[in-house]
Amino acid sequence: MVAYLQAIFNGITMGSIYGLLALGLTLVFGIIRVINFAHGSLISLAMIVTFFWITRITSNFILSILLTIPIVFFIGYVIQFGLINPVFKKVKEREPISVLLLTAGLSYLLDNLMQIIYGPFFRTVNTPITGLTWKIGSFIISVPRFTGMIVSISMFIFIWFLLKYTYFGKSIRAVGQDREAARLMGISPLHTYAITFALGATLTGIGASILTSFYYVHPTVGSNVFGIKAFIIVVLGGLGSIPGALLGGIIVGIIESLATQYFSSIAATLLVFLIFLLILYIKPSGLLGSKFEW
Amino acid sequence: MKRITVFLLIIVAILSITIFAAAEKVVTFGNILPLTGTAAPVGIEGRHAREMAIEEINAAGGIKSMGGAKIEMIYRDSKGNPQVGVSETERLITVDKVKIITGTFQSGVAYPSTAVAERYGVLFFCPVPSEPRITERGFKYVFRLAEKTSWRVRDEVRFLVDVANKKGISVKKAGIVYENTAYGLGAKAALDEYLAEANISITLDQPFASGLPDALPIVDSIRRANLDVLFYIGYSNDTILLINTLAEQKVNLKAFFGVGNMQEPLVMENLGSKLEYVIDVAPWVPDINRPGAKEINQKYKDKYGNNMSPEAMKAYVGMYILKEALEIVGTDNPDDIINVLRNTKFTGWPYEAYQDSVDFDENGQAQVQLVMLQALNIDGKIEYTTVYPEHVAREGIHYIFPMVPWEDR
Repeated sequence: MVAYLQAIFNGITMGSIYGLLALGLTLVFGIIRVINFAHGSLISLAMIVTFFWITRITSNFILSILLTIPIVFFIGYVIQFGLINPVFKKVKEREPISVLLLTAGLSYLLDNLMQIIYGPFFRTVNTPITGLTWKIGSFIISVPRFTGMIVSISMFIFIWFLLKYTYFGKSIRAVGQDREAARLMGISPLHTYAITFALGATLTGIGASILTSFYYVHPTVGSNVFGIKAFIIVVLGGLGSIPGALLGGIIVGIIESLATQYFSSIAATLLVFLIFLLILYIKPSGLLGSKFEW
Repeated sequence: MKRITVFLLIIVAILSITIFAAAEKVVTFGNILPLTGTAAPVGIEGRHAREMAIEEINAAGGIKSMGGAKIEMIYRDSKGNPQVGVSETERLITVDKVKIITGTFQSGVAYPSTAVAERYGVLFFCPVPSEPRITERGFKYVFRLAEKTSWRVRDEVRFLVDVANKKGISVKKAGIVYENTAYGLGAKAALDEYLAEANISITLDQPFASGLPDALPIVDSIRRANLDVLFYIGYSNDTILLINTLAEQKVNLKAFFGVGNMQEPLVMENLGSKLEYVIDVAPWVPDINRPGAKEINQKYKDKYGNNMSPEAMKAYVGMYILKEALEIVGTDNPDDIINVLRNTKFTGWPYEAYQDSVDFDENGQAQVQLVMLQALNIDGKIEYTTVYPEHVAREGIHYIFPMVPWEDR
């Protein structure tokens, strides 16, 4: 029984981190209607930036996360403002296919750029929470994953509050629902897009920073391992749905953890995709997906 | 008259260019390694080792029987992907017209790529991949310098049984965590066989896909299985994640065995003291007491900043084997070279730095003696030290079995 609960708990902690890594993706899709294929690259980028701070500048983990935030925010802003917005200005469609290709190209560019600058190496960092556990009887809590869960849930609450109750959040939602109507109300859609993209990148960056406390840093790990996972989670939970990302993440986390215990790690990967297909079959818009989330 | 002069001048020019080109004779080899992607660090090591050997060979006058031909290597990136490996092999043969290919790192890439070379009658020389079947298909043009994975496993299980008997410690339950690739599955098949022979039951059979998002579920399954020993087959990134998580979760074992995969510099650099007591098997280690081994390793270290891995050593020696074979036949015709490789015993420098001598059997498989290594704390630094068979162990060093529990480290 304890083993069973332990597996579920481990699944929830890691799943919440998956959820946080997917939150930026779902936010960008929900508001800007852009499927960001460079999402995985942003994960690697944030991990590398955190790695840089913690190994070169400060050994303080919290400070290095805080220092990572403005950088990913800025990069996110530049990507939307400098690359995607100009396409929006030229193309009349609401969801231009060229933006999809642009983000895919950007992903290759960023991944390879990181390979050149950082090198193709795996590196781990020692943070104050690395390798720590709390023991309650025979129940073991992994401190880095647990911290990740707490940060993740706080971020979800923060974003939910921001979008629901602040004037700024309302303007973001307005642009997400109807770009033209929002413009008539005096909101600049392109500026809002840039801020939203930057916000998405920041959330992703926070998740990625936390990940460095127990995961290795590598330029393609974002695209190859976590980026794909984020896409599954977002579609599973409902494209554009904020609580859907958390729910999707936790479901994937629990499946991985339980199936590895009772079948095997390979079976777990298979099962995630099976359940993913099954849910899409029953509810094509994803678990919590709807046309307008807010 | 003027026209004739110009014509003659052109002829002379063309001739002199041809003669000049002939003086700069080269023999071109192809090479396939993972130069990008997750296995890139080890691929780059393989490239470094080859570059060092080629530099030395060319500086010493190239291949003398071929008019001092210099060796030139075309490096192609497999990305660690079997399909890419196959298409790059095809490209090297049909576009670049090479007759000799060396590489790969992963068995999964070597297995189909060597089949392509065999079809074209091109020599494929594998210094590193260890999946047994690579040289068990009756191929004519495929040679392997590395030991087979099954030999590593055979010797590890023998070591385990011997040591457990000597210490009077019972070893009943083994677990296997392995990558579902040619390398992992090959090791798993061999473990099934040799563990059954030794009366050790496999109570955890855990295949995984490379690039684990989290090792905690696997580590949890290891804890639940209550194992005596664990055999782990996987590459650097997953190794780092797995051992870090084992340490975090304080899962204790009597022994942790890698299957030739635990000595990557990146693994050692990242894991440090967490690697202590891990056992691995190799045909070669930097501390091995063989003539020339220390000097070659030192040169490599000065050049590239880290110790040679066994894989780098194999790649280095492999270049010299090819060079000597070419030297003997005086052409780069694969049919002549394979005869030489099958019938020659390679002795002296640099082969003796790797093994007593190198010779290949009918299937193109080299005979290799293996030693057991354990990561031990030597003067405050984690080092792989030769611990078994006892007569070749590093002086004053004895294996530690069972492992010291995490809580007491």
